[in-house]
Amino acid sequence: MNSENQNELPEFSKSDALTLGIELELQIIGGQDYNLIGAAPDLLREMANRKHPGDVKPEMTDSMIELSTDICVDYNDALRQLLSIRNQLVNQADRLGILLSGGGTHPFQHWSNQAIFDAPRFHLLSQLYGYLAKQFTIFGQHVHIGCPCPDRALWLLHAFNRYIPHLIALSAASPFVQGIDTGFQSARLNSVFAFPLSGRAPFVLSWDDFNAYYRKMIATGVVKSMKDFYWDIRPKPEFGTIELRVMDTPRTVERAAQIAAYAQALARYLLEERPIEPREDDYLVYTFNRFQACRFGYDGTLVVPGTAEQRNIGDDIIRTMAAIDVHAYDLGSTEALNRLRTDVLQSRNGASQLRACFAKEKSLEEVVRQSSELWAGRPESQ
Amino acid sequence: MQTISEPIAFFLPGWPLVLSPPLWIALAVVAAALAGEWVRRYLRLPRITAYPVVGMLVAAVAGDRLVAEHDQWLRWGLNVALAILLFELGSRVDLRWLRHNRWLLLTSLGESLAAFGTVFVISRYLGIAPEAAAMLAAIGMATSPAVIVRVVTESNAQGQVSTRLLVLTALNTIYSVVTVHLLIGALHQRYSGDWVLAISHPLYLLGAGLLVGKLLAVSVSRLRHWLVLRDEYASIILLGLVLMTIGLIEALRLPVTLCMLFAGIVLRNGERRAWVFPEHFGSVGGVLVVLLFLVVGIQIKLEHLLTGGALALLLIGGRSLAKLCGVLLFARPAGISWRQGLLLGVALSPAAGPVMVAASDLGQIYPQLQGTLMPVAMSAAAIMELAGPVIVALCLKLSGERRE
Repeated sequence: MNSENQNELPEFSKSDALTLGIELELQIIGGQDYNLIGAAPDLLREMANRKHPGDVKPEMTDSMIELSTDICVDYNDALRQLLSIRNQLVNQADRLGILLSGGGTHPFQHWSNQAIFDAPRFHLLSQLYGYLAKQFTIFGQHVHIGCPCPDRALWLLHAFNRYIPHLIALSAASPFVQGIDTGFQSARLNSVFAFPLSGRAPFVLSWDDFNAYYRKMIATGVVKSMKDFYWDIRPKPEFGTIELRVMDTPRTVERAAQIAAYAQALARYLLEERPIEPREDDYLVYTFNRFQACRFGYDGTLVVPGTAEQRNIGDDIIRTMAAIDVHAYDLGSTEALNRLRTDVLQSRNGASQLRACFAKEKSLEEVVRQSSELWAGRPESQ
Repeated sequence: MQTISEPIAFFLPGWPLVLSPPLWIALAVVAAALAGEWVRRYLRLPRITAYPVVGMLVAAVAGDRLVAEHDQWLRWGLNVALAILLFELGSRVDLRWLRHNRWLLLTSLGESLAAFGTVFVISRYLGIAPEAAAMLAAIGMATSPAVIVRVVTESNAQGQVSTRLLVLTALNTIYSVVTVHLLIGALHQRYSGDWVLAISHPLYLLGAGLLVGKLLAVSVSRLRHWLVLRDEYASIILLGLVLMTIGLIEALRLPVTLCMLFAGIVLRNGERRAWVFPEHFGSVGGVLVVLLFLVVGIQIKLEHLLTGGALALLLIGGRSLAKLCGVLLFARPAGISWRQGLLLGVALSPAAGPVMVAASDLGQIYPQLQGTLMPVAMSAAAIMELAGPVIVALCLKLSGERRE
């Protein structure tokens, strides 16, 4: 396990500003009963030696798999890569008679049935966290945004905190957990809260200070490496990026690329226009805002940090989109933003679609089946 | 009866008590169920491994008049059990998968043809007449659907080995039943020299079989639009539908095997909506399944195991090896590892008891066959009835797909 220990924080690699990287954790579903199935080893074996951009990796349990893109310059690049990996994965899944699906949770799986993927790190986590590790059978989207310098990265990380509810509301796709409607739009994030080192990063704005914090945490013995922090946004020094981690895996790769494009345009807006200066006090309303977004999505209430102003999250997204439009244009993601805007105006996200599907079909198995067809790019009715 | 002392009073029974055979059968069921629990707890094997053994022992103690006397209603019960199992098996065949993975279809054809060829050659070598050898080979293609469905369901196995096992079993059962009936057609010509009869017979069986299957599938599918079929009470309606279908099947003199498999397949593939086999339906069938395996065991006699002896083992070994080779040949292109291919190939070895029952029907229709077909085949069947479930259970265990 020594390879997992990092007593020193690695150097912050240089990466081109505003480059993108997307990771998606996927559900692997059995074609017989539409429950999660531990077919990751089969899928990885059949994917080996096949040419595609990015990477496909095992995840915590045997019924999850993670796909990631290479470094993408813009929305179109990201979408192209995601589609290519998606198609390869779906082809192999078809051969194996299994299904793949997006969404933050599997609607009716029982976590006690999950087997931990056979790798040392996952077994160690399983020992440490017990049932939490298995309950961690949840599926998220991570977006990396490239930063040329670590101090800028930390600044951007904290500037982003105000927009976390946007990302949650746009991606939310986990209303059902273990067979029941939780009432939440993103119930997945509730599982993340259970971990001791989840939440927000400490408010430090220079890499030296962050390094000092990291050393102190290592000295306490509580953490062994950056991987032990389950923060909503964390710096990823190896890549030279900040990693946004609050999103549910959307139901389509298109949506995943659009959300990444929104984050990218937002980052450019924040870095170039510096409309806000992050402060520790911004975090006073952070968990409230985050909860509102998880629970109510676009209809949630957001308290603008530093003021007492309350806004509807959906309205705030639309207003933000207006502010960042020009940046989205420069980055070539106008189309992505337009699609997202339409969805916000129509109150549509993964969670609302899943609920509508269940209301119509009255069977969670059928919901899962339609989700996997949608993920494969073969939508039927939606 | 004459030796029984008169009861003391008119309302008291005579002594010794006269026990009706159903009581003995019930006793056997209880013994089998208990043995099943014991096997599961201490040997970690599926319950059904115990049922045929108990059946065999009961028959050894009580003699097979148990079954003979109640042939009629037992047969009915067995048909229902078999029908439910085959319905379930059929509903697990995803035709879309076969379209996406042609190699799987090739695997299926490969293992079935290999088994047919091998059994035919070995039977000929053993001096069995060509017609009987062909019949035996046709039967040898099928993997026991009852064993496979029960073991897979009971061990709650999920994965490439178990899913493919179900699909390959459904397919080779279809091939087997169709071939058997085509052979019957051929025998018709041979025995009665009537061409029209020979051709129309199998056509009728297949066509009408598909039609009856479709009928059941359509009614279940309609029903499910306004009933939650996973509900315990809804499963009673389902069971009733299956009983009605069996009645229809018998009236039309069709093979239950084929009709119920077709029904399952049509149900699963007829519409795109997710179909999950109702679990309560399975538990209703559960009791009948105990009976099914028990009766299979009752039909096994110790001398069956011995008379066939080495020849039966040769037949079993050759057939199993053929199936294994057929699977391994296409394992990698079909998308499974060598290890999975090995386990899948071995797990296909249980021979089909129910098809054997069909064969014994044949024996009644064509007494000429009885003498040549039976001894070695019955011996091979008996050995596989006892060993089959254990083999499948071990394969699933080694595949790591068991989730009990």
